Amino acid sequence: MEKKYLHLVVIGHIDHGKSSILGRLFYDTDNVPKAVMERIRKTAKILGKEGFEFAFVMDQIKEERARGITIGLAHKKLVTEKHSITFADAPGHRDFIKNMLTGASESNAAILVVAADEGIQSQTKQHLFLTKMLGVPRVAVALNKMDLVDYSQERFKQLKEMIEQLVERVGYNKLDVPIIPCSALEGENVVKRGNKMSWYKGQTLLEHIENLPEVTPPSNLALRLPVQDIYTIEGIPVVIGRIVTGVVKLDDKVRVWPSGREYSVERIYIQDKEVEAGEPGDNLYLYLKGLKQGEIKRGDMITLHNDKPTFATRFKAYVFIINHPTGIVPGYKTRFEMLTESTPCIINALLNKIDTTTGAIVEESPSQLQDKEAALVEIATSKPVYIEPQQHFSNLANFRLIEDDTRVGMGICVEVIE
Amino acid sequence: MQSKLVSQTEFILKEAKARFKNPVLLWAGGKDSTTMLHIALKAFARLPKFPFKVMLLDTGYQFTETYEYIEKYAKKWKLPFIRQKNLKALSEGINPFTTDHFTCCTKLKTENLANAIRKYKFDAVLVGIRWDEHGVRGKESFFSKRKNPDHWRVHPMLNWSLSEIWDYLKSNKVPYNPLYDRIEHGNLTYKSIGCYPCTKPIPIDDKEERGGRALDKEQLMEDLRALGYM
Repeated sequence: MEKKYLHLVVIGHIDHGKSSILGRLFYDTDNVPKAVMERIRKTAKILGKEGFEFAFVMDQIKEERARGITIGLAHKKLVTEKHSITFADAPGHRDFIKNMLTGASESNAAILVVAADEGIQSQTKQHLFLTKMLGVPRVAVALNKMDLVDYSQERFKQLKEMIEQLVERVGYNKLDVPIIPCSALEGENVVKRGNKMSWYKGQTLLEHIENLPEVTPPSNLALRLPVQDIYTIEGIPVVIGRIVTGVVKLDDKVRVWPSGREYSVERIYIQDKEVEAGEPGDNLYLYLKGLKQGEIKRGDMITLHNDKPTFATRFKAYVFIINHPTGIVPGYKTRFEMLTESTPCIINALLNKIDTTTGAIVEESPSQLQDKEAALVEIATSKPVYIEPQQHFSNLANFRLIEDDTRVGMGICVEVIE
Repeated sequence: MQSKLVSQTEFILKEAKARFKNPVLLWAGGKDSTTMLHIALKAFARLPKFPFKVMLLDTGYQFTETYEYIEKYAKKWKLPFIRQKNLKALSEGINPFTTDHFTCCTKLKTENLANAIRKYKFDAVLVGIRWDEHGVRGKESFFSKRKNPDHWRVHPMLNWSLSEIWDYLKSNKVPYNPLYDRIEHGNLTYKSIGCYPCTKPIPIDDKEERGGRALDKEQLMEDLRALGYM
């Protein structure tokens, strides 16, 4: 049976317990590697601290992180009976912005961790704001450290109201945002229900996560099929590509861009099987009636005949510089790559520099952007490219900046200017 | 609709075909590279010939079961198959019994691969590594450029977990290396297969996939990767 596949990003203010929540999720579902558990049990026994194994798991994570090694929770999947849940990196381990830019477009939800003693803090707001901006569809709130406020229902009610105001202000509907009082340290309401908060009748954090809706395949959106390749099979040119959004069916009239030529769909194959339609994520062999060699090439875009993709030559995007020794300045020229597209581009302007660990705006119109820094920028491409703002077509917003075959930056489009 | 994992892997395989002139897919008969190979066979089934060379880096010390399995299916699946051995190192007496693990792996795997890339002028090497199998591999990306010799590494399987690999192999009835099904001393199995002198079976319920690999125990993975091993 195919498991339900979920992808989550974990966000929240520093020290509110992002890693403890994650550690508790893995620990209580028996997903901590056995060798690690063995070591922990032995240590706990020697120290006469049996029963405190969870604290040791957390120490282990901290220690390995300090040595620059991931314990394996990064990219590690939490596998339960019916679910396979991926967390975008171990939280706090690497840059928040980088995680968001890589993880946002495929995330089902963000888990916002708020400590019950401190309540909403600056990064709580900043992270949530970026989460919404980058199009993460859902948020679930883990109201952690309830043990520090004596599991007070009063405190829970008070914070719940404040958090609900915040999520509404950012643009989520509070009815869609569950708030779960929990304690990662004591293991209350994360995986197990516990007995300290009998006043709470709702689901545990894991139950909420498991009940998150899967990201709806964007089949209800307009067809966007970037051309990956052309194979010649039995003398006929066949279009190779993976559907990003929408659906294509036999006999559909489609248009190839930028030429604007119209064709009808004659045959569709997925791998070695002939099918009647393709959905988002399907890698297709597409036979277009009357298509001749040279009429279509890698980098073109296919839409339905009565539609046209967004051609942009200038757009705003969040860009994160991941590998550039000297940093970049306004006017920096580089190469834009996205899906199967590749073309020269120029960074026209640096708009706002962003703290990569908090998401806060730290400088307006900075004069340069160093390695490992992030900013909202304006980019112009040498020719029109098919790019859409993250909020509309999440799968058509991500791009890379390339120099000498090396990825120097990654970006996500948030607004098309022209 | 194609599953998310298969969809991504197939897309990356087709990117490799589109971007490179002479890619090679490494197949050592293990579960991950077999899954990658199987998806590639299905993805390119409509082409008159398979677009990648398929290569076994033969150390000379893999299990008999592995060799038999690879030979049988290389033939059955009509693969453009290459068996690459570092004959020079072997003739100089490099072996896993008396040579230290690091030198042995470097010579018979890393150097062996580098020799093949030069000999056949491969511009891309497709490798079935996964993010979740080893901490060091957690840092890898789908496409990365390598030097000495210049080539690209392509990793179409990064997103797969161990259980998803087995789900795929079993639900698609893909024939896999019979060594995985062998049980020794009542409860010991092979979860990750390398060379026979350096691979030990581990308890059935052990979750450490690579726990039976000498390579990992000695923390050699990081050094080897820096030198160009998979």
